Amino acid sequence: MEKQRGFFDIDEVNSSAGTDGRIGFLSINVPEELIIAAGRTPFRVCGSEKPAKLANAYLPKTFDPYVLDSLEGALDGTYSFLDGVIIANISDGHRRLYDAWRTGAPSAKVFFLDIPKSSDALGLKAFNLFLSHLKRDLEKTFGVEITDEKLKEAIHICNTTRTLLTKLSEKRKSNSIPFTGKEFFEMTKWCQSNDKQTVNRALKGFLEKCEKVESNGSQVTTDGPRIMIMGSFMGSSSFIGLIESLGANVVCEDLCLGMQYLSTEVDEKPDNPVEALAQRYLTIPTARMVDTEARWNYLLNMTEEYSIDGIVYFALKFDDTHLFEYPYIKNKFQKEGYPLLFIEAENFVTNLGQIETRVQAFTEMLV
Amino acid sequence: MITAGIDIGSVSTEVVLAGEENEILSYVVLPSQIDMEKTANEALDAALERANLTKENIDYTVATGYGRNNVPFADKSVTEITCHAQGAHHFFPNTRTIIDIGGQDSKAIAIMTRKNNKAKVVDFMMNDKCAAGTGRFLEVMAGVLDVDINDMGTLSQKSSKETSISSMCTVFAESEVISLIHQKLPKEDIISGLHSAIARKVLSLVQRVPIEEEITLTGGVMKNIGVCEKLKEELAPKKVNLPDEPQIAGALGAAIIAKKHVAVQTN
Repeated sequence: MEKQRGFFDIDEVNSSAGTDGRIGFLSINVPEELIIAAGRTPFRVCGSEKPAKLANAYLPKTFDPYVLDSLEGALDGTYSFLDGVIIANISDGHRRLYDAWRTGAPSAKVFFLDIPKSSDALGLKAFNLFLSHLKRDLEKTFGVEITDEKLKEAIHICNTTRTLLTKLSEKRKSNSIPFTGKEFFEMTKWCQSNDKQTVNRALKGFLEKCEKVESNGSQVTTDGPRIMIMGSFMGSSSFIGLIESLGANVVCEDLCLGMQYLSTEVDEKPDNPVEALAQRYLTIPTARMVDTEARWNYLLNMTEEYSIDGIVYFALKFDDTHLFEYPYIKNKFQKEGYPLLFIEAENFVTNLGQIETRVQAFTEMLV
Repeated sequence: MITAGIDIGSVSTEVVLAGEENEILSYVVLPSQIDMEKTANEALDAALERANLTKENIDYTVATGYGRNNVPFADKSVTEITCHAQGAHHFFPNTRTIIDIGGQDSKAIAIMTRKNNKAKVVDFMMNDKCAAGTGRFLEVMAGVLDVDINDMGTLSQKSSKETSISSMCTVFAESEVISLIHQKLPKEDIISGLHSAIARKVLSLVQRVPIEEEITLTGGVMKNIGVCEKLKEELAPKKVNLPDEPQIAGALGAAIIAKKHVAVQTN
């Protein structure tokens, strides 16, 4: 039997290098297409993964740790290679991050994108305007023209990434999954920070490998409870790795470094590409949107399609959006008969030891 | 068939040897040392001696508690949540809610009974990263009040007027207690107030899982009659059970779970 290779053994993944011409972004609501059409590579800012030290001079410790970690990276030079960074108004913390990033790293080009909380006609109209402003800002700053043609091409490239990731994700609906939840997380994370042409070649290569294993019939059945993970921004796969090391499989996730990234596609034949982007990026059913019913249906549908046994809800301390959403979601899922485990953590990379007992007890409960 | 359950907690280590019908052949409670392997071996040896058995007589061993992954002779590790549920259910088969207060955490567990009469955990809550409402909280306060932790329960029974303790944080509660001492308030009244504070804190946890009859109390802190009575008051009129040896529920549960694995092995 041919040894099955993982995504990170694919040649394209390892050959990609260089940090030239990158623009950072911190939210799933920022259209990468605008960055690509401006001739740059999108780069997902995930935080410095070091304890916030410098950041506390600008923002209080009671801020969302993702905001503090990202600011720490801006201040300690981790992100000095970026040509610019787009901060979206997804929470008050991010709103202040915009100020602090500009103050603390004056040479950085920081762009602000406002985002309505509702995807009704008014919200869409507003978001369309906000995106047009961002487009104009990018054009002015980098001296480029973002034409409709360039945008349509970028939309096609990004849709290809989303289609390939969706095909891979759907492999997880079966009982023999060719990769772990941790690997899928790492894969989507990698896809958000590298040149999309390279990304698409790598994904295609990996998909072919997975399908080859399937047709050989040499896939391995995955035992253990099937877990869905959701909640706050998670910059590292260590928590998912911990869950899987305790005998469960993370088979789907409502995370921005996960299925939120591939939830829907952008219309490829639009009259106005910015409008098409607004339509897609404002209708991602995240916890910050007011249309809770659409989000609930999306989540319930996911648990059914992926035959979930239990749900792990991860919330970062001070991440109000998710801390406030949890009681609502918990109630809804419990009525549907799904067990939930709530984990509140200081940071997405630490405190795993304390969390282990809870996760292990939860998996014991599901067996 | 003989199985062993070992529960290595942050404060104490318990070993239970169980027989064919889950009857307790012997049990041992020892203070946990820094060297968990040494503690585990000593506790096992003592339990074997009491039951007049040798290591060779044990068919399967399950370890639980914080040190569950550091027991060299264990065949499997299971969390203390599952084990306490099993142990409490064995003591009182009608148990639906378990409140366990240990050295460094407190937990509330909701269970149901499976067809095979085994307990199944339905939901659980653990205290967050804070010592409020744990054995460690009582230990710190015993130190401040200069009393033996084992005497706190009986001392509190002599209280005529309970003092109110409002801080739940161990550090802040400590300074609150010191100022009460300076006001020359009787120790008994302060201790009684501390017990109420623990009961309140634990109750806020329990309320997040469904509180159903019957409730069983487990863990080392339940050796303190004062805390148990406050909990019973808060939970009234629900039926609250207190096992004779609340500390060994986890180890007993581990020994019972071990039996299931012997059955699998021999098949």
